[in-house]
Amino acid sequence: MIFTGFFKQLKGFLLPIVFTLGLRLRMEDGIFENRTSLYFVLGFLGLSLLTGFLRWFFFTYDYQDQVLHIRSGIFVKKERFIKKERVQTVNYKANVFYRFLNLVTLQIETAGGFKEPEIDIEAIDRKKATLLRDALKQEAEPGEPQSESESVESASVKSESAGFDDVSKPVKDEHGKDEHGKDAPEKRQKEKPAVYTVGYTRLALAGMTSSGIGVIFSFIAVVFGQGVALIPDEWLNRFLRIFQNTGVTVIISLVFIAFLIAWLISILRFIFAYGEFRIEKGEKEILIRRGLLEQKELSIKTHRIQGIRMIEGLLRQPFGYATLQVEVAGGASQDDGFKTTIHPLIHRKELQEFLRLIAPERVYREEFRPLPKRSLKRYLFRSMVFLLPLPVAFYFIPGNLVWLGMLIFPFSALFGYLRYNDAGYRIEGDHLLLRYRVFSRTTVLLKRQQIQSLQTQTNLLQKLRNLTSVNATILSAMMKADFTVKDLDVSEAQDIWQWYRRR
Amino acid sequence: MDYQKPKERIDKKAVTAWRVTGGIYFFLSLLLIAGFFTASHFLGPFPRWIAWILGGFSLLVGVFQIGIIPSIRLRYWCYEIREHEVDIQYGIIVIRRSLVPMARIQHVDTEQGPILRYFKLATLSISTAGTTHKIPALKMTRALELRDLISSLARVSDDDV
Repeated sequence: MIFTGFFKQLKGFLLPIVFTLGLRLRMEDGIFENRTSLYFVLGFLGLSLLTGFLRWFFFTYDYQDQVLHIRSGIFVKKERFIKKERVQTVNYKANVFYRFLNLVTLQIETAGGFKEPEIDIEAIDRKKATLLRDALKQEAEPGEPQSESESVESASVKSESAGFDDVSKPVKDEHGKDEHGKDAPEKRQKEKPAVYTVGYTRLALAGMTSSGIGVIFSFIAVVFGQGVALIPDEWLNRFLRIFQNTGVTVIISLVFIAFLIAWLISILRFIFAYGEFRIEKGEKEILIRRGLLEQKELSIKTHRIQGIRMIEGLLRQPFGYATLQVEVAGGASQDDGFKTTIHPLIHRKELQEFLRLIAPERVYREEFRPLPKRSLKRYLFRSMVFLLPLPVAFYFIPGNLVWLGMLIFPFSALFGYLRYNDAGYRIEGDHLLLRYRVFSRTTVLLKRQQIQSLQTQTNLLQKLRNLTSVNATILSAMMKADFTVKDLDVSEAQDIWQWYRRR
Repeated sequence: MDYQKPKERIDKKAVTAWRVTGGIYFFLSLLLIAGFFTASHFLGPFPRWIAWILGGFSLLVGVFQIGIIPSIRLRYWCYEIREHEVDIQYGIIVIRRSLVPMARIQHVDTEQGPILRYFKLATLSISTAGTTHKIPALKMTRALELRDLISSLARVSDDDV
């Protein structure tokens, strides 16, 4: 813990240090020629080591009489008492150091939502963590403070689940039947937890098609840029001399190499982040474990899942692949950036099977009600309108580059068309499926009981053409998430409206 | 199919209240311009065109906020509270219509700024777990009445779902 705090701070300050050192390196020849910078660095290291130690020294926790008591803080002392039944989820996290030392960070999330931050117990022994977690969870599971006997427990479980999705249950059974023709094995599977893993070829594929390439590419470009400053002038001159001789092909191949490196890094990053991906469906919660080096394990209560999002990236959709994410109510259990991935890369064909295992209360069908033809004009208009100032800009750009710029027109038009073509909705019993595209095609699986409010938006031009946009809001980790399908026929919007009103 | 506009309208006094609000903003922007000229006087001349643009802009906004928009906005605002849902429609250029089922409603508040209080008006604010919907400028008594109505309906609806 001393060192983790230290490393954490070090990580935060690493970039500034590297940059200042880099600057120094450029200005002077030796790094530590100027003594002040040496003192600065040493002082910083000492200070963060000290605060790391103090934070560790003052952090204590103990668990007694169903109350978790946490004391922390160097100057400002903070004490927290968390009752067992307030605990919502307990998640693990372990980075490379931790795994090497057999430690984990225990993340405890309490009911009560967005204001109270979750509690992290950093760097505790894995065994202790498991013990604490089991102790906290045992009580949290049945929902009642005391559980007397098994029969009572199971009864309470039943009533609770009925309370949460009483309407969804019959629907699910119906679809279970007409989808697979047999109902019994599904029920049997429910008893022992269904486990789903994702293999490494799949993860490599996901890395290859992930849009993270762009980010990494630009990062590499920056590093190259910074790197140039660090190269001694002599080398640079020699390099430039070679450059002049060989010409454009070298530049192109350099860019290509940078791109290739970015691609490889993106693949590796994906494999490291999602390696050993394993998702398990328990009776009332879903357990996700992932990460090759830094391991994360999080549990999601099934009844808190508000919707499922299927994202088909531009590179993935042609091959039939998509990412699946869930929207979880409350500030808890988010993976990174408030999104919780339940499948990093799923093929369209596997989707039904996966949903049946992991989220049997959800329904997905392929065919969507398309938009009326007259919407196409509006979609094209929207994707092209921002290009209007471009011809003016072209006036100032040298001739041969204009042709490159012109490429953007057919591309935008294509995107306008794709957005129009992909948008649509489907109503299936109590389920609403919305599909739209910005760049990736996104399909959301919503349930009527979980839609917080429905809104239509009609501007004057839409009104002229009898079109309207429909927007559904659900709860998510960030308070709310809303999904919009633009330019539906008004009568179809009314269908959705009536479907939502129906009791 | 009943997809008719919601039936009820907000109080006519809302127009006056909105005009007063617009007037106050207009006055503040005038103060800003006056401040600009004072600063220009003491700190050396600033370019005039900035003042012209600021002045023109605030005049335009003022005319819209005080003269034109309030009455139109009133005409477009409507709402209806039914047994199972709250239905709200508003907006001039973009017409927004929201449907909030009673079962989703978590709490109802009334809000009042100084201007609304002077006109004995109140804004009804209806919150679900994720969204907030407002019905502005209702008559005070009406707002309280609706608040009680919605909260009782929401409670009944809760049991059904």
